[in-house]
Amino acid sequence: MDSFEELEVVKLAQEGNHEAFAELFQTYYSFLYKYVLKMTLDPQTAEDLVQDTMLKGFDHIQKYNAQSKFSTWLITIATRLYLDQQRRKKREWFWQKTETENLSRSLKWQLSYKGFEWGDVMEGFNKLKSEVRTAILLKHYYGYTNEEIAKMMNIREGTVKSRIHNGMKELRKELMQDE
Amino acid sequence: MSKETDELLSAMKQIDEITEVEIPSLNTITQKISLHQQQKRSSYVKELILFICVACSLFVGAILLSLQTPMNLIIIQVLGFIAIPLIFMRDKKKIESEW
Repeated sequence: MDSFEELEVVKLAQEGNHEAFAELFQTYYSFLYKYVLKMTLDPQTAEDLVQDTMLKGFDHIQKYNAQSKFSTWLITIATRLYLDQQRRKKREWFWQKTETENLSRSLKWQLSYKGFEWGDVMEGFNKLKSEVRTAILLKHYYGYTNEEIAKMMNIREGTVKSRIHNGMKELRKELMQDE
Repeated sequence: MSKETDELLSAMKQIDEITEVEIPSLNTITQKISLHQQQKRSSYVKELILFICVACSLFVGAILLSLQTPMNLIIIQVLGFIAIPLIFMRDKKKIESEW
């Protein structure tokens, strides 16, 4: 789907056409799922989050103004939903205790079955706080600027910078400990 | 780019390559959207009914108090407000089947 065609489909979706929204969502499903999987490091959470993103996207499609790519808009919704979920879960003390142990276990198993070696870098990445992990992922893997990440995560640019800096420092420390 | 960034990026790339994504059909997505809309509509109606009930009870309560109605009438009124949702819940299935 080229950008002109995409705009047409967005217009139709904004007029309430379910099929148009479904077509848009289907186009970006794979991209969104892969992003969410890397952010959550848990296939089950990723699937649920993608579905929640779809429903929230459908409810707020009127607010999409085509100033950013549709894919960026979708991952902004997914990021905010995930961070909200994490904030809520952190209030439950027992979740905090088991979070890092349980989240990646299923993904680790699935990936190792396909020959992926879950190295120290992934172990370190998994230990980072969800908001730090998300910022690092958006900056280094997806190439967004600090300003864009700040908008996506609804925080200040300075906070993004410090989260990425501290996160990478922690990751480096973790790798040095393992060596 | 630092060594740890490189390692992280290559791990992420590998995850992307390995991950097999089952893309849902257009029909499945459309069905989920329709179901979501139905749920939203029914929760809106429930909230609206609750709002109207609360507003009515406050209104009636204010009138009864301003008219200095005898206490037993107010008690009957309160019992009525408690009984209505219970009766509605009891007859819900019957009402739905008739609709």
